[in-house]
Amino acid sequence: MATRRCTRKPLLAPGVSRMVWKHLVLFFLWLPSLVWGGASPTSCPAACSCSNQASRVICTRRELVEVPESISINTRYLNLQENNIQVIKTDTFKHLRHLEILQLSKNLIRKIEVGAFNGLPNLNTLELFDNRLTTVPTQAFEYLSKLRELWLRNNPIESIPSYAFNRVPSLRRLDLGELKKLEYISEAAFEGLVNLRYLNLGMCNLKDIPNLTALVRLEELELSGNRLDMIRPGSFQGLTSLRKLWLMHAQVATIERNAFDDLKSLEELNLSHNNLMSLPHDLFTPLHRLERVHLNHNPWHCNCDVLWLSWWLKETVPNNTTCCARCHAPPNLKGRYIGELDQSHFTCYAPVIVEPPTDLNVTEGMAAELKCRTGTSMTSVNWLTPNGTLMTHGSYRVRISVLHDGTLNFTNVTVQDTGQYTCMVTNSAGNTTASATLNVSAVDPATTGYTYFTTVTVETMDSGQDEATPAKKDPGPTPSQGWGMTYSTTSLTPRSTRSTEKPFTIPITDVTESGMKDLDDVMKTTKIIIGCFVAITFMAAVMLIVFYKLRKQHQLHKHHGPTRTIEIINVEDELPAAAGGPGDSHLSLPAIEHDHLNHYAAFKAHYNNNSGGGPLTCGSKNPMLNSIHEPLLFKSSSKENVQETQI
Amino acid sequence: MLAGWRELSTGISAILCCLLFFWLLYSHPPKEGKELVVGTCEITALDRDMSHPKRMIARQTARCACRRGQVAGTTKAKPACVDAHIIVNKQWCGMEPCDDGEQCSLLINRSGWSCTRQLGRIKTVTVS
Repeated sequence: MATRRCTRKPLLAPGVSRMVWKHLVLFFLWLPSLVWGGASPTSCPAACSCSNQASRVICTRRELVEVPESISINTRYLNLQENNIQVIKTDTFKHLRHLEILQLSKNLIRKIEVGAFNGLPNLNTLELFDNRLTTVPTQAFEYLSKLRELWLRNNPIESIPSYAFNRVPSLRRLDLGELKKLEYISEAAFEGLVNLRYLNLGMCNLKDIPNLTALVRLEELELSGNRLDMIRPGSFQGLTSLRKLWLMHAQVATIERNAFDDLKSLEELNLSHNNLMSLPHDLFTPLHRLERVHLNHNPWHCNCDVLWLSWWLKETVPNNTTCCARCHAPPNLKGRYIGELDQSHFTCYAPVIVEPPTDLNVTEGMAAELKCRTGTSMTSVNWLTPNGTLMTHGSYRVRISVLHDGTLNFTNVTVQDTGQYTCMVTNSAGNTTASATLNVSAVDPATTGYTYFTTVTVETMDSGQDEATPAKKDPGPTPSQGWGMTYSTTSLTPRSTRSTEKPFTIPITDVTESGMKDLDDVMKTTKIIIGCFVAITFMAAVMLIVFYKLRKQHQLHKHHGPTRTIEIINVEDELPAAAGGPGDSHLSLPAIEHDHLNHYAAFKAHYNNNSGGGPLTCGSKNPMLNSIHEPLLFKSSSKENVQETQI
Repeated sequence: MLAGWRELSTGISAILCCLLFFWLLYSHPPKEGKELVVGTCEITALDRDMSHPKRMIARQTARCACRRGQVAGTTKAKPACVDAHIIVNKQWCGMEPCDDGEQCSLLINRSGWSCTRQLGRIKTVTVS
């Protein structure tokens, strides 16, 4: 309805005055707010059919080139399939906060802008299959916190970068099938998809199984229609919840030993329509929950190596042994079901270890290899380590691994690895063992830790270059004559470091005198000496300040009243010989402030009364004594003064 | 009078703090001890003779704590751990001993290398 109105208005416009124009402009400004603000909750775009109070909006096959506007905010289901939409612009669905299912498949979408799916907090299914996307629109997935299903099947996507789906950890189903242009999947492509239950990577022309370790809850994995050729152990590392694995039409020719060991929960395995001739001995033994195996349409070569499979089928699926696989060779067994074979058909021999392990003596930290090469890769190889654990091809230790040819490989050995290692090779006829001792000797870090490198450098320079390198012209710190010169570090370190070009400080050691006397010690003593010096200076300064302050305080006390005179008298009583004759006191007068004049007058009188003769006259020494001892005396007298005043 | 005591005590405590500070500073274990971090080097001896005009002769010994397969050497004019086979085979230029912009050439008797800079400075290094 809104769209119709806005097409009519321009027709009226030319005939009316300016005022009308203004109103029109205002109207156009207001119109989007009407549409986007969702003022009409039940409005339905012209090209669409709406039902259920506009909660279902279906706009299929309308040759739309853009997502229609004025979609009701009540919409929960929006179908835009089979149109000609090319670009999804930012904030296209911003107002559709109730939208749960958005179907954009079978369009011509080549670009999804950043923020295209903004404002869709309830979206749980996003269908984008059969479009023209060349990249995973990672940036657009932000804020899709409830997205559970994402369909990207059949797009010309070329690569899946790291963290492509990191923004949608809620995802449970991810369809990436038929990405025919897919060239590269990053190691961290599926990082963050901790809730994913189903992943389709079928028909993507994959040559290797990508890293799926992050998919800890994955239950179903589709890898059919690829070109895998070989399946190695570790391909399914971390997929402990996987229940179903489909590998049909995947051109698999070889499955290495222990390739499926990680799939502890596997229930169904489909290997039909591949190029398998044989499976390694006891491949399915670790898969305790496996109950359905599809092995049909493979060129099975029926010999002793396939016997274990026959037994396994009889034991696991006793009532349906014919379901699975028929022999392709040798001719006398062609067409026979594997599940019907038994020992009577072949003559089997216990396996042969072509290259048994040999005893090894290595030092700690080295790499080591214990060979255990077998005649055929269809046997199973187990290594028994000294601590009793069993190592198989594909078991993960940080340092130790069993290679495909049966070799036990240590990237670096430790002393704890010492001991006897036993290799056990098994096939349906029995097993063969071979043992070897690995002896790891520890290395003494003190003896091998350090190496020395002594060089003699002769550096010559042109006279024209002398100015360019003034440091070189600088003569040595001391009159050095030859190699025998030793530097006393304390005094010369600054100069010698200045003269070197090297950006790092060079510890210099007294070599000739005491060999390896460490420079650090010298440095340390220097530091301590400097530190002590600084400390003493600091202490002296602090003491000076304290004394100064005390003296000042005393002077303040003097201003207070009559007690001061008593103070002075007391002092002089204690020091009868301190003050000399009248000449002495006269000399010290300039150093003392005006107050003192009075005291000295009093003191003179007092002194004259008490001790008439025999004063120790020390000439010019006395004023010094006076001036120095005064503060101290005041201090002691002030104590008495306190007592007096308290009394 | 009380104030005087207070000042005295603050002075003493200041001195004590000062002493404590210096004690902490100097009793702290020195970081550059005898133990080197693996992969690092230190120069243990360096003699420079600059008495000759336009020529400087320096004798230097570096000590390195290297990983297995590596020994002390020189890389970009600094001591560094280098692959042991370089030292064993005397392929000195293989450890890139010269600074950036310098040209390394092996001495004829393989006793060392020389680094040539464009401005005519030549540094000849012999290994002893």
